[in-house]
Amino acid sequence: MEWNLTVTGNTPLNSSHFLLEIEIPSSFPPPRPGQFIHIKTGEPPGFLLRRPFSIFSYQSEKRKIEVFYRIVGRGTKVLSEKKKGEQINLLGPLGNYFSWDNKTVPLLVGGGRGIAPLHFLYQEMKSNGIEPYVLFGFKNEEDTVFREKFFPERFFLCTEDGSAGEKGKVTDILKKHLPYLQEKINKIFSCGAKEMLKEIYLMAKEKKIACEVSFEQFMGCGIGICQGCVVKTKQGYRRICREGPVFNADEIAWE
Amino acid sequence: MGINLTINFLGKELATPVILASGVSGYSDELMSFLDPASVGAVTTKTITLQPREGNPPPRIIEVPGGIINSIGLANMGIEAFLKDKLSSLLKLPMKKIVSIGGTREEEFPLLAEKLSNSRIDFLELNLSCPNIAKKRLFAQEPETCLRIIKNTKKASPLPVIAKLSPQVTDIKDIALACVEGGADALNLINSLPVLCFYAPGEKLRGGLSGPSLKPLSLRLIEETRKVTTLPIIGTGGVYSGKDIIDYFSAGANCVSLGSVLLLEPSAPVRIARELKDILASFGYDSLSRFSSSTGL
Ligand SMILES: Cc1cc2nc3c(=O)[nH]c(=O)nc-3n(C[C@H](O)[C@H](O)[C@H](O)COP(=O)(O)OP(=O)(O)OC[C@H]3O[C@@H](n4cnc5c(N)ncnc54)[C@H](O)[C@@H]3O)c2cc1C
Ligand SMILES: Cc1cc2nc3c(=O)[nH]c(=O)nc-3n(C[C@H](O)[C@H](O)[C@H](O)COP(=O)(O)O)c2cc1C
Ligand code: FES
Repeated sequence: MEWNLTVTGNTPLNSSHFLLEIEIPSSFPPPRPGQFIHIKTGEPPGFLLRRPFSIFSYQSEKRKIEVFYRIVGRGTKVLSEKKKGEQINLLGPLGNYFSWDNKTVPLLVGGGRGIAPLHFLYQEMKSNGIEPYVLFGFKNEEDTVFREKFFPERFFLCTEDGSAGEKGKVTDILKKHLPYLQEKINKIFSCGAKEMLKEIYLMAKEKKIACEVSFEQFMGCGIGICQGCVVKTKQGYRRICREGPVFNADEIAWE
Repeated sequence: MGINLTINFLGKELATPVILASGVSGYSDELMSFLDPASVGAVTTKTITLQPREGNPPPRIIEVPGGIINSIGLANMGIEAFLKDKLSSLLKLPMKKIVSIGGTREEEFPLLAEKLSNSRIDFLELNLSCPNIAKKRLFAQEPETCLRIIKNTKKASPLPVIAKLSPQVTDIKDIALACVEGGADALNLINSLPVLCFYAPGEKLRGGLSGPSLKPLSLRLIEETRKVTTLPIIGTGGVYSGKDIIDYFSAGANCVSLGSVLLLEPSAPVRIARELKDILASFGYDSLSRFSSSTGL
């Protein structure tokens, strides 16, 4: 589960977002949407913890995975300096994954870099003949990378400043569209900040729509041994790296 | 080269001087897929308490310059679940087994020790850095309490007892002497250091500092402790390399335990054991025991 792999691309998408492409061996367990990898961005004593990133896409025939990330601190800054051909050490694929079947009519709701696992989910659903509805929100137009990747008739885009798509937060736009979308969809999948997930869950619950959410938290080991990465569920704390990152939103003890 | 890393610890042979520290190896089965068990002398479980503990609210772990701050809050499954669900897989591991016990009342230590008496584990470690509810201080900050806990634990169980100490004390020698008097078989220095950080403006995390910045503190406390006791000492704090082990031995430790490094590199024991062999070879030693006798221990 610990790998030294080759970076085959690390492309800036705008001033702060990058797409990292990593070559994987045939022995790499096929990842599933929702799972993440735990990257060693630097060596000790400068870097003491790995950084977790969702898998953004997986191409088995090309033997590669991609990570969509945003520079927010030291680790992601160093990651952005990785060059094609360099080695990268990671653990993975880790964690659980989104659950769906061929009767699922999904709505994927994400904000900012939280779209990463949903993009992978979208790809997998599409290749299984399911056309998801998608609602993605960003800060401004500059951040709306990948918008052309989604099926336009089922794609809702919004930005906080209104520079692309509808103006408003994801949760505002969801509230606006849910009254008619609720007839079509039967499950919401989401990833992002906890406050946003809570609002989405409450709307889904009111409309009696199933809802799965993927959480982020500061992580230590990433493999279930340190208890560092928990979220409170109705059964007590659960490890995001092991029992998560994806949880049935009904199971969460929302505060 | 065939450098022999085995050491004798309390009458038992450890394959290497590398012990996996409490709290960073789970209940011990989880890490094994990442490493060659032959690189590890002993493994220590997460500190186990009488009752299951939920632990602290997140965030629980943050990287700061030179270290890691954790605030896990002794989250663990409790002794009954441990005995029922985890002990048998722990016992199957080839290295020696240390079970760490803790609590918030001193009576809990002997009760836990008694429950583990017939469990075929090798050593008990007392996590004395737990908060003593009765006194609102750490057990490890009060010599008399340490003495009593160790004495009562020894009465309750025939298992050898390692007392794990806190760096947050006025004079480590007083605590070490109390542990010796209480009948401790070995000491482990040190647990994480209580600290505070702000991970975002106004967002506070109170927890224990571990990692590279702990090493010089631990070395100093071990050197101090060595002045007053000949008990075996496990050196803990910021061990990331074979050279760190050499430093710990030079300060007076008899073996080391790895904590934070396992969070970054779960396979670290393999690399560290290899580095230790290379260093010993470069010094012209064919075994670790020859090197350690040269340090006067
Ligand atoms: C399961 C999981 C999947 C993730 N997937 C992605 C992804 O696909 N793309 C992406 O860009 N980011 C993702 N993240 C967040 C990413 O791990 C953090 O942005 C990264 O660790 C920050 O490292 P840094 O050294 O640059 O920042 P630091 O200097 O460590 O921190 C800068 C700021 O980032 C925030 N932060 C730090 N660590 C985390 C963390 N583990 N989770 C959330 N916020 C954090 C904190 O608020 C902090 O103030 C994911 C996190 C988790 C837990
Ligand atoms: C996440 C984490 C959890 C820990 N949990 C325990 C514990 O349950 N009991 C204990 O005695 N020490 C615990 N420790 C302390 C370590 O065992 C060790 O004493 C300390 O981290 C210093 O070593 P290091 O610098 O190698 O990490 C924990 C440390 C970390 C980082
Ligand atoms: S990060 Fe260590 S248990 Fe999840």
